[in-house]
Parts: sequence; structure tokens; C-alpha cells
Amino acid sequence: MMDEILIQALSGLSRGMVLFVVASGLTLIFGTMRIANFAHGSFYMLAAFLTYSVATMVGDRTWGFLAALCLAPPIVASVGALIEWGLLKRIATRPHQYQLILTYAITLIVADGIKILWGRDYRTVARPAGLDGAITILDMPFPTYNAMLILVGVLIAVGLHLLLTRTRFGKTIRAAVADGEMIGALGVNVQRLFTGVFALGAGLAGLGGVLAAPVGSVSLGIDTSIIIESFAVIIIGGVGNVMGALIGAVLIGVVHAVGILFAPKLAIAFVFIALCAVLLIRPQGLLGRST
Amino acid sequence: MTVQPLPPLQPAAGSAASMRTKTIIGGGLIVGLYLLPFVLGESYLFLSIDFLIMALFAVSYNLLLGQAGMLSFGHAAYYGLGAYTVAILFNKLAVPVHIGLLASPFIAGAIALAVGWFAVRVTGMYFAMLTLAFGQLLHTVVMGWYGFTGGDDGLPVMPPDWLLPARNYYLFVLTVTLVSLAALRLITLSAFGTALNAIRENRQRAIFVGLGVRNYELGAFVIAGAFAGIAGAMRAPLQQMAFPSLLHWGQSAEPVLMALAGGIHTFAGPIVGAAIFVFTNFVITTYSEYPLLVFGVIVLLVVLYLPGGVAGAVIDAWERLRRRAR
Repeated sequence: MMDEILIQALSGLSRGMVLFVVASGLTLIFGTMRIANFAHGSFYMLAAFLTYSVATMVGDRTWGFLAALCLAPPIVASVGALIEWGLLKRIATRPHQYQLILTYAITLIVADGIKILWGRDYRTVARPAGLDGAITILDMPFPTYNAMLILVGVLIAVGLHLLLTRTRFGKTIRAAVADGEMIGALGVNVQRLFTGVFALGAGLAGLGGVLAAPVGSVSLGIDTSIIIESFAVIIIGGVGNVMGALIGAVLIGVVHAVGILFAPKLAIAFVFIALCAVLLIRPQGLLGRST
Repeated sequence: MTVQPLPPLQPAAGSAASMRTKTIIGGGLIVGLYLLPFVLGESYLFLSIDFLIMALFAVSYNLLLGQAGMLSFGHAAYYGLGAYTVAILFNKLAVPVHIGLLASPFIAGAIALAVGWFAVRVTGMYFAMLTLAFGQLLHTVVMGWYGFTGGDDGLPVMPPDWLLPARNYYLFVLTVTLVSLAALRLITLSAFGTALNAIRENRQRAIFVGLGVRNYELGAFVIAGAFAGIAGAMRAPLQQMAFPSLLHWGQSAEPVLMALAGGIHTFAGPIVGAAIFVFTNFVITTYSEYPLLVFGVIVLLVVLYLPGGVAGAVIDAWERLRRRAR
């Protein structure tokens, strides 16, 4: 039983890593622009479908997946930049509800757009050669691809940390999270920063979509589940905090996966119990700053 | 920073004469609504029932967004819970739907109390995310609890024979909706409603003058949830089915859209918004193969180009015409 729980926790960890990649983008957007971007799940879904198409076009499953990994995130990031520059910028000064509704409208358009371009069927993406087997942990098989996801998640976390602490762009983002008005007063081009952050965030959602495509199903509706979990992640972790998102995502992934062992249909309830506990103890999130 | 003096209270809005006009227009409208089923065909009658339910749903929501400035994105949960209250009482205890309806605001309100207790700890966009997340949790629970809710198959509900004809059901829904709207109107005008206005205008100041802001917000959340429950309780017998999709976040977007389309700063705004929404939805689903796409584009255009909502734009255009005529 213990072994079973451990393997399940590992598999939750790999799922949590995908969630981290997506939620880190959302938390950066929220932290800098103060927009709860509903369309974030749509970026993820769009990337998953792009992965399917690119993989099918290329034919070879390894090269197909690698091609998708190189192509889909930049495409989705460009879509994000276009949405920020063309739509969100125009209503930046209006009350929150308009921005929320605008990103919601985008989720509707993307959902039907995908229906038009790809149809309503489920799609599957093959795992790259060498990653389709299983490794043995504690005498139990564990899918190689999931092990790779954990590794990739750690690499992306380190990469994002370096981006935020070592580059000018990253430092500006962190400054914007801490005090948005101040960096405008200090002469940072806030407009350009917002477009950049939105593109980066959308790109991360896209990267998550590519990574998830070979493990989950590529289907309509995956936008909703990921966006709800991502919101839970950033509430747990604290807004604008990438390391908080990592902790929140791993927590949710593991709690959810282990919860499935005990109550398959209601596992998501355990996630919310964790969420409520965090809210009671630290309403600003585990690593968030109180305002 | 100097403290701006509050503007003097308006004397009871412009005289007895305008009050009388308002009463006459309102009374005429109500009489007209009661006569409607005797002139409308059955399919339009169903559309009118849909409108009444959505109007109550939207007005209950606007107690949060318009009055208290609370941006909830999980209002459908309480709407759906109202529907399931009626459906479960009907299936498990054979309670007829019009009796079950009386229980719906209490069940929906009780769950709203439990969620709100956590949710009012945060504000703004955080509040929106949290109410959305809790709404989806309730959706998942209803989806997964096959033994109690029927899961994604839904739960059938049959109205009693006397409520089956569309005309009778319309009159029933009309009466319940009017009573509920009157109750909500009284709440918005009460001291409680005024306190909610104060919180919306300046939360910080409301705290400083000693309002228990969180308790007021929780109260608003519970009341809004309870009335959404009544709206949902009227929905299930109409479709003769309670579905989990009634609690889905797509459904939660609807009262937000209706309130914004009609205007959030008046009591009647969301009712106008409901009319616009129900009609637009009807046209789109009838004529388009991709209703979400068309609907999304319309919402996008309205948000970008009609900041005051559809109703606001109509009023603006009307005033411009009047000025030109003069």
C-alpha cells in the first residue's frame, strides 16, 4: 500500500509539473497586469491541438514531438501578444469585470475555433521514442515520460528563476509585481512590458500544453480543468510568485493523485480542502506578500 | 489628503408626480406581463419563462457586482443547487416542485454561507478566482455523486399536472419572480443595501467608519445565492431535468454578461440585460452552427465599443436624438 501511494504521488508530481508550467505563466500575468486571464486555459488547449497537428504532419513521433515543442509555444505566445496588444490594452483602464469578460469571450471563440479547425474528436499524441516505456521504482513500473516531465519541470523552474533574477526583463517583471505604479513612474515602458509578460505567460501555457499532449487526452474541455487548477495554484502560492506556483502546483498534483486512491470521483475535493486551509492560515498565499 | 464632503442626499427623487408616473408604468407593466400568456404562442411563452428566470438570476447577481462591488464568477453554483434541491426532494421524498421551491433558497443560501465564509477573506480579482474555483468544485461534486444527484445523466423532475401547461407555468414563474424581485428591491433600498453601496464606493472608508465589512459582504453573498437558488428551482421543472451544467462556470458567466449588458448601476439594468441576452442567445442558437464563436465575438465587440453596455448605448443614442430634435 505504501509503495502504491508513493508511485501515485510521483505520478501526481509529474502532473503537478505540467500544472506548474501553465500556472507560472498565469501568475506572472496576474502579478504584473492584475488580470485573471481566463483565456490561459485556451492557450494550453490550443498548444495541445497544435502539437497533434505538427506531430501528424512530421510523421516521426520523436521528431514530430520535438518540432511541436519548438513551434507551438512561440505560436501561442504570438497569439497572446496579439490579444494583449489588440484587445486588452484598449480596455486597460476600465473596471476589472470588463477584462474578465473579455478574456472569457476569448475562451468561447477559441473553443469553437478549435471545433471548426480540428473537429470534436479526441486526439492522441504518441510519446517520443525512448520515452514510451517505463522505468522501475521500488519494484513498480513508472512511465519514463512522466519521469522526464518531473525533470523538465525542475529545469523550467530553474530557468524561470534565472530569468527573473538575472535578466533585466525578469527584474522589471518582479518590480512590476511589487509595485506597478512605481515602475511606470521610474520610466519603464509599461505598455511594452505588459505585452511581453502576456506573451511569456501565454508561451508557458503553450509549453504546458505540448508537454501534456502525450500523457493526457487532446480534447475540447481541457481548457476548463487546467484553468481552475491554475487559479487554485496561484491562490495557494501567492500572486506573481513563481516559486509559490511551484509549491502550489506540486501540492495540488500530489494531493489530487493520492486522493484518487481513496475517492476516485471526488479527489478534486481534497485539493479544495488544502486550498481552504491555506486561505485560513495565509490568505495572501504561502509565499505571497500581505498587502 | 483632504476628505471630500459627501454630496448631500438627494431629496426623495424629484416629487410625487414622477413617483406616480413610475407607479403607473410599473403597474401597467405587471398587468401586461400577466396578460401575456393569453396573446403569445407557446414557443414564445417558453422564451418568456426563460427571460423571467434569467432576470431573477441576473438581479440576484447584481446585488454582488452592482451594489457591493463584489466580482463573483461562481454564481451558477447556487442557481444549480436550487435546481438540484427541487429535483432531489422530488425524487427522494416525492415533494412536489412548488413545495420544493420553498426549500431552494435555504439550501443554496446555506452552501453560499459555507463558500462565502472563505471567499470574503479576499477581494477583487482574487475573489473572482476563488468563487469560480469553489463553483467548479460544487459542479464536480454534483457530477461525481451518482447515487445522490444522478451524476452527468442529470435528475428528472416532473411538475404536477396543474403546472404542466405552459400558460400555468408561466403565471407561476411570473408570480415567484415578481415577489422575489420585490424582496430584492427592498433589500437594496434598506440600510443593509446602503451599507453595501458604501463598501463598493470606498471599502477602506467603510472599514474606518466601523462597518463590519466582511459580515456585510458575506450577507450579500448569502442573499444573492439564495435568490439565485430560487431562479434555479424554477429552471429544473421547465426543462423537466436538473443537469450538472447548471452549475458550470459557463453558466456563471451569464449573469455577469446580463448585468454588464443592461448596466450594473440600476436595479432594472440586469432585467433589461436578461431580455437582451435571452433574445440574442435564442437567435444565435437557432441560426448558427457555432453559437459560442458568434456569441464570443458579440461580447468582444460590446466590451470594446459599448462601454455602458447595450442598454447604455441605446439610452445615449436616444438622448442624442432628442437633443437634435430640439
